[in-house]
Amino acid sequence: MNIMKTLINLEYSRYDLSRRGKHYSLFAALTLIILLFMTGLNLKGTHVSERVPFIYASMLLWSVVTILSAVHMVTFKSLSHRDWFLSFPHSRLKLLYAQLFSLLRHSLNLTLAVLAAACILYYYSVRAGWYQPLTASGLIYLFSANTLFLLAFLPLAVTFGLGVSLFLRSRTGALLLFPYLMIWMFPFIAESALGSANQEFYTSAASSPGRVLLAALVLCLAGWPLCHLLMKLIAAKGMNAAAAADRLSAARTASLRPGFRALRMKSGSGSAGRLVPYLLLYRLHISRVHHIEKHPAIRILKLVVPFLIAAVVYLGFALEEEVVILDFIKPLFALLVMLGSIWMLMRTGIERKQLPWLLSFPQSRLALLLSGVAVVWTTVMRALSALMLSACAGSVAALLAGRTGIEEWSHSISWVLYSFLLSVLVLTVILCLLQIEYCTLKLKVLNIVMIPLAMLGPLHSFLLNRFMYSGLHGGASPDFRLLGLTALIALPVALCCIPAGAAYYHMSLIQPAGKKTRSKQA
Amino acid sequence: MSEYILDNSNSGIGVSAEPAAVECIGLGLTLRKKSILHDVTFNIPRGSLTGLLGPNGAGKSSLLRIIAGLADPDTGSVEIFGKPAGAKRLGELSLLPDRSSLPGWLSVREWLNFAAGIYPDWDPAKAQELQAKLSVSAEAVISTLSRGEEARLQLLTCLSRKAPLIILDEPFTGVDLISRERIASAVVAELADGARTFLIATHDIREMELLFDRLILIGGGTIRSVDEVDTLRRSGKSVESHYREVFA
Repeated sequence: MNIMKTLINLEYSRYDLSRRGKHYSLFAALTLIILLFMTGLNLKGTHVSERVPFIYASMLLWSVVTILSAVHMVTFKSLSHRDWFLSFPHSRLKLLYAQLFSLLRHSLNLTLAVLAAACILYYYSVRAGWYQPLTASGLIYLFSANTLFLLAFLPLAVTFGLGVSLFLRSRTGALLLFPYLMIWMFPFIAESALGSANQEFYTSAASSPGRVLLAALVLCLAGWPLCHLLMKLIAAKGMNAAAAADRLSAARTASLRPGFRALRMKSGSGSAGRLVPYLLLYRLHISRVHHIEKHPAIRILKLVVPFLIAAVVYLGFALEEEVVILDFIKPLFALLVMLGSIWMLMRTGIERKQLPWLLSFPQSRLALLLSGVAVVWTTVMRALSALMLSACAGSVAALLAGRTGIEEWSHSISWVLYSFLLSVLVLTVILCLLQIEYCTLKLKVLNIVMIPLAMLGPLHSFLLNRFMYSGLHGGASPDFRLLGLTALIALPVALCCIPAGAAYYHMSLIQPAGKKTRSKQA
Repeated sequence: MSEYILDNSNSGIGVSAEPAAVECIGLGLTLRKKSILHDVTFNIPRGSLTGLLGPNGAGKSSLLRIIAGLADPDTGSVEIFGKPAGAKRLGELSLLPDRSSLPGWLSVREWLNFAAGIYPDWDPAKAQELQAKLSVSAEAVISTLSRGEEARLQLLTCLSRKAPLIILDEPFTGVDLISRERIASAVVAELADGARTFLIATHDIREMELLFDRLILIGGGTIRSVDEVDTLRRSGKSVESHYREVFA
């Protein structure tokens, strides 16, 4: 077998859903298609044009494929088989290309599901009479153009995601992290602006199949060579950083040390020892975050981003559109919520090495799980609050400088506050609901809800735009009563998931037992 | 500079015009202002079985990672068979990394199939022979293997290649007595033709004492001694007593 093919297959097998069971991948694909279709029905602009499902498909795939590739690269450093992988007798570029192609294969699977959902949505829209059906040739042209466009940009999205390693390895690189994130978030910002303000785009020549084909061609001619250059750079710089395991293992050892020390000190010292176990466990978990926050890239981002946000908000008040700043802030809130949900989903995997120790602590599993959830929640909340405060600072500066009137200012700021509270609610609900994951280890039937829950992170902003921001550009004030009512219904349901998850938390230690395990035991 | 380059004419290994299997010159590594390795210089002749011994935190794993090309030193250089070490030389050495696992989601059979495709110097017959010798079940999923079983599978992966240099980093950690004996006997069998060079970092001095023909003692990031085991024995010392003498 060709070496490259073997390496790709090895990498692909890591996330291969079919390994979970014969029909699991089919079940996952169907669930995903239904979920995407239902989300699509509620997107703004769905009723306007047959191009909308495909435009949203591109936006969604760019965001999801990029973030999956970036997460893949970031977590590569902590993989237990990393040293074996890096000691394969092949060039780093070849190993990296194997990762790229395996991620591309997974992305293509996802693309098939997204395209299927887009086609079903088109069919449904035509049947519902939202717009006139295209001719057979017109439909084939539209479908082919968009499919080619997706195929053209997928390598770019994967490479762009893998490129995150370049920005995390030095202070200079860290400065580029913000523009990097902005490029990645472009679809979110565009969706926010297009979905609410300028729906003419969906029927304009700019989104016609001809232009889409042209864009695909440009991506192939200019984007793919750029991908190759970027891959060479990542192989030379990013992969070497991943190989520097002494630094990593030192960091890994250090990452838990302060927390364990705190736990030991507090447990052993009289009154402190009587502290609520939850707080001690929280300190233990948060010590990992504190350690990560010491990274120069994070430090620079923490300093630079608030100023940039404030500056953008300040400048935004000069524009005629009264709540344009929300079009900028809203996707950032959504991004943070999404990152929080991804972190939550990956937590068990990240903590696998420490899990036997954590579960052996003489504290309740509820305290253990709750402290872990709280760490994700407080960390994302800190970022959300910083964002909110920066936006407020920028808006106050604009008010003082006379760039806006008091009425316009209070209207905008009430929407920003509404958006902030909504994000806090969504974050809380998603993090709690995701604890159901541990119940699925016992009750396999619950797997049916895990895929929709996992997709809540990436998709929630589309749903919020449809249901919670309906009055945004009509001059109406935010509907805080709707927010309150939503919280009243969603929070109790979500909070129930934590004790339910805690009951089966220990089962994450047990590897899924397949036929092979049983035959081995036999 | 403290140099530990033995004259092979006294080693019983034989004089050779060929470059050493491994040659480290003035290696230095500093992490977070802490010196991990300092001025490390030694060589390893071809066909030898060299033990790299030292207490915890001595710098053994860091040194092996640099030799394997997985990390770069801050100062000094490493040569493998006369050429600079690095990621490009991974085809000439077979590394068993410390505290690392094989892909846990695969079965042993699947992994061995992948390994056969990944390593150009893979020897399927050898793999089959070692699989029987080391008692590694083909159908078991790697993540369900016991520590001893996975250690044997990792050794199997290393030895099924034809690479002339084998580097084993703590192959006995957490491994039971029977598995240790199996691993040790597999290593001995590989030494028979003298075509391969072994460099083994281990704490298990007693287990490997009879196998080593060279000994490198490292402590606090510096080389404390490089000795031929035969020379030590002739002077009435065992590997263990020499280790105690250096580090006690």
